[in-house]
Amino acid sequence: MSENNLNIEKNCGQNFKNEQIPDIVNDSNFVFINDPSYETVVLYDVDGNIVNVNSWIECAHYVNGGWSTSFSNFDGNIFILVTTISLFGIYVLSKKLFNFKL
Amino acid sequence: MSKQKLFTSILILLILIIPFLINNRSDDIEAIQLENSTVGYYQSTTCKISLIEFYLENRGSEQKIYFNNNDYADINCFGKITGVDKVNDTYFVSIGTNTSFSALIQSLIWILLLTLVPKLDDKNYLTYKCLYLLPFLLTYQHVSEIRFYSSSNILYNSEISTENLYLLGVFILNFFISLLIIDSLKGRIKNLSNYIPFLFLIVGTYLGSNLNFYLILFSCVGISFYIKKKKLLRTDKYYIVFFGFWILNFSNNNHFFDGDKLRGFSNSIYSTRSQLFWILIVFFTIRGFFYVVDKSREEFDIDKFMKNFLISLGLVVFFGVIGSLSPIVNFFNFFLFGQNKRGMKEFTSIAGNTWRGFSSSAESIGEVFGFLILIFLILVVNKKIKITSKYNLLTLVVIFGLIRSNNFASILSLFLLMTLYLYFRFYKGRNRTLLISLFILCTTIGLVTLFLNSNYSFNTSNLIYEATRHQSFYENIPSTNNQLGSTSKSHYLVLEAIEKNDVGTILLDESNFEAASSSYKFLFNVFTPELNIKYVPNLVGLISILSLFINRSEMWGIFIAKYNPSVFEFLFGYGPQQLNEYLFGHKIRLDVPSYKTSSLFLPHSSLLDLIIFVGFIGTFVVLLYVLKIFYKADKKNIFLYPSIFLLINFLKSDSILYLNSFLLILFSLQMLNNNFYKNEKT
Repeated sequence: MSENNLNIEKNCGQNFKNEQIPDIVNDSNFVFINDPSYETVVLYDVDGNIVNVNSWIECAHYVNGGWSTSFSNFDGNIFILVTTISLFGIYVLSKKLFNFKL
Repeated sequence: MSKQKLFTSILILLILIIPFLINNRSDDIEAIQLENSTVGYYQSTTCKISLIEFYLENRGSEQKIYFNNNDYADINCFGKITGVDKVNDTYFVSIGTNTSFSALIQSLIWILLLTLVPKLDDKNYLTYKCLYLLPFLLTYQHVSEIRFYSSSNILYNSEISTENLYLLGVFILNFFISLLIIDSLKGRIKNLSNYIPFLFLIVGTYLGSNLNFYLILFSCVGISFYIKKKKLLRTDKYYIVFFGFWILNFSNNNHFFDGDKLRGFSNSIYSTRSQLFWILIVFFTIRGFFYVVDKSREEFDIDKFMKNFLISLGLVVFFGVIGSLSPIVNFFNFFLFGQNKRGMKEFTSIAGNTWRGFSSSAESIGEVFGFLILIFLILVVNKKIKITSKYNLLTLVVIFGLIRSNNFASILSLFLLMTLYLYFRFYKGRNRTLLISLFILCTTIGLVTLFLNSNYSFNTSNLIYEATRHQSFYENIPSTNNQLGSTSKSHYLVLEAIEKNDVGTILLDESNFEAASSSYKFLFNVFTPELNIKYVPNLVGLISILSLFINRSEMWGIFIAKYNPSVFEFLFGYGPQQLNEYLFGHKIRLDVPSYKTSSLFLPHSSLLDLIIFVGFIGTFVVLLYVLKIFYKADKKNIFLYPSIFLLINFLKSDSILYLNSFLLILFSLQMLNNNFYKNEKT
C-alpha cells in the first residue's frame, strides 16, 4: 500500500466499499454524495480551517489536499508557554547557580 | 575569534537551523524530488517534511523554487512544508513560520548577537523595574491591534481572561525578552553607538508581527531612564500636550493597514488602544535612543564606527546578492535579519530597490550608502582614518551598493555636499566675495535656464494640476465613451479643465467641492489669492517648481489629493506612525496605470510624513529644534555634512517611516547636538 493510501486510511478509515477516487479536479460538476453509513469525520488544514466530510471519497479527496484529523491534538499556546517558561527558568537558574552573565 | 564569540556564533547557528531541520523520522514520510508529478505528494504530506530535508533532496534540481513563509501555520508545522503550488514555471514551497515561535527564536538570535558587542564596563544603566511596564505594554499591543494579529497568528486570542493562554504566553515571552535585553545591555550601553551601523543589516522586524526588536530594546532603555530619573524632561511636556490632542481629538475608522513595507513601525488601525500603544512606544524608543547616544558619546570611536558601517553594508550587499541567487538563503535572510519584505528574487537591476528586503525602499538604502561614503571621504580628507586594503575593498562594495540602489538623488547630493565640504575645507581666503559671486552666478544661471527653457505657468501650477487629476471629481457623471477612449467622462472633464487652465471651475460644483480634500482646497486658495502682489512668488508655485526639479510632482499631487485633515488634525497630526486615516480616510481616483492602483502611495517626503504624524505645529517645533542643533553645532563636527545630506534626501523620501533610517538621522543629529542632557532642564 502506498504512503498516500496509508495516510488516507489513517484519517478516513478503511475503504470497506473498495471505492475508487474519481478525477474530481478535472470534473467541475462533481458533487460529493453523502454516505449514510459513513460516520462524519472532521478534518483540519494547516491554517486550522475545519471541514466535515460525509463520505469516504470526500474524506480521501480532502486528505489528498493536505487536510487531516490530527490538528486539534497539539496546542501551540501551551507549547510556547512551556518553552518560554523552561528557557526563562534555565536562564534564571544559571544566573543564580553559575553566575552566568550575558 | 575569542572562545565566547565562537560559542555564541555556533549557538546562533543552531537556534536558526534546528527548527528547520527537525522532522518525524518514524512516519516514513521523506522528501522527494519536486516536479509536476510530486506536487500532490507534498500537498498531502503537509507539516511532515522539514525545510532542510526538502532542500537537501532538491539542491541539485533545476526547477525554479521559491520558499514562501507561512506565518499563519501552527507551531507543529514550524520549519516544515505546509504546501506546494506551481505558478507558471515556479514552485512555491510554503514553509511554516508560526508568528509566536518565530518571535521567540528571532529574539534569542538578536539578543545573542547583541552580546557580541564588547563590554566597556560592568555598569548597568538600566533597571529591572522596567519589567513592571514594558512586558505589559508589548502585550497590550496584541489586544489593541486585533485585526493585524488575528490574521497573522493562528494561536491568536484577544479575550482578556486568565484562561487566555495566548496572551499569557505573549506576556511571559515579552517579560523574558525584556529581562534578557536588560542583562545583555549591562556594560555595553557605552559601546552601542559604535555598533549602530548594524541596524541596516539586522533590520529587526518580527515575522508576522507589527513590532521591531529595536522598539523593545530602546524603549526598555527609555523606560529605565524615566524610572531612574523620576522626572520628565522639558521637551517631554510638549509631547504630553500632543498626546492629549492625539487621544482627545480622535474618531475611530474601520480601515486596516497591514503595514506592508512599514511593518513593525506602523500603526495598523485607527483606534484609541493602538493609538495609545504607539504614542508610548515611540516616545520611550526615542528617549531611550537619545540616552544611548548620549551615554556612549565619550566612548564613540569613529574608526570603529566606520569599520562597522563598512562591514554592515558590505554584508548587506553580500547577503543581498547571495539571496537573489539562492532561494533558501533568500528565505533565511528574511528570517534571520528580520526583513520587512522578502529580498529580491533575481539579480537584475529593477526600477525599484535592488537591496529590497534589507531596506524597504531604494531611496533609504541609497541614502545610507551615500551617508557612509560621505563620512568616509571626509575622514580621508582629514586623514582621520588609515586607509587599508580591507577598507578599500569594502568601500568599493559600498559604492557598488549605492549604484545598484538606483538612488540618483543620493549620488547627486553626495557629490554636491562633498564639493561644498572640500571648498570650505581648503578655501582659506577671508574674502568671501568669490563665494558670494559664485552663488549669485549659479542662481542666475539656474533661474535664467528655468525661465528660458520651460513654461513658467505650467511649472508653477503643475502641483495643483497633479492633485486635481487624482481627486474624485465628477464622480456622479455616468461613464460613457468619449474623446479619450478608455478614460471615463468624469476624468475627461477634469483633464479638459486642466488643459484650459480652468481648474477653479471644477470646485464651483458642490459635489466636487465636497470631494476635494481639505489640503487641496487650502492650497488652491493659496495658489489663487484675491490679492496678487506682482513679483512676489506664490508659495504653492514655488513648491510646484521644487517638486518638478526633484521629480515629486505626481507623488506630492497624490498627497494633496489624499490628505484631508480637520483643522485640529492639521495642527497636531494623527499621532505617531498613524497613516491609516491618511491612506484610507479620503476617497480619491488614482490616475495611474491599473497595475499600480493597489500600490502603497506614501507621501514621498519625510516632511510630509511628519506633518501627518505631528501636524503643522509639531513639524514646526521639530524643524526649529533641528535648526537650533545646526546653529549651535561645532562646524568641524564630522556629522555636520552627513546630517545635511540626510536632511536633503529625507525631503524627497519616506525614510522616517523606516525605523533604521529614522534612528540614523536621530543619531546623526544627536551627534551634532553637544551635551544634550546638560542643556535639558528637568
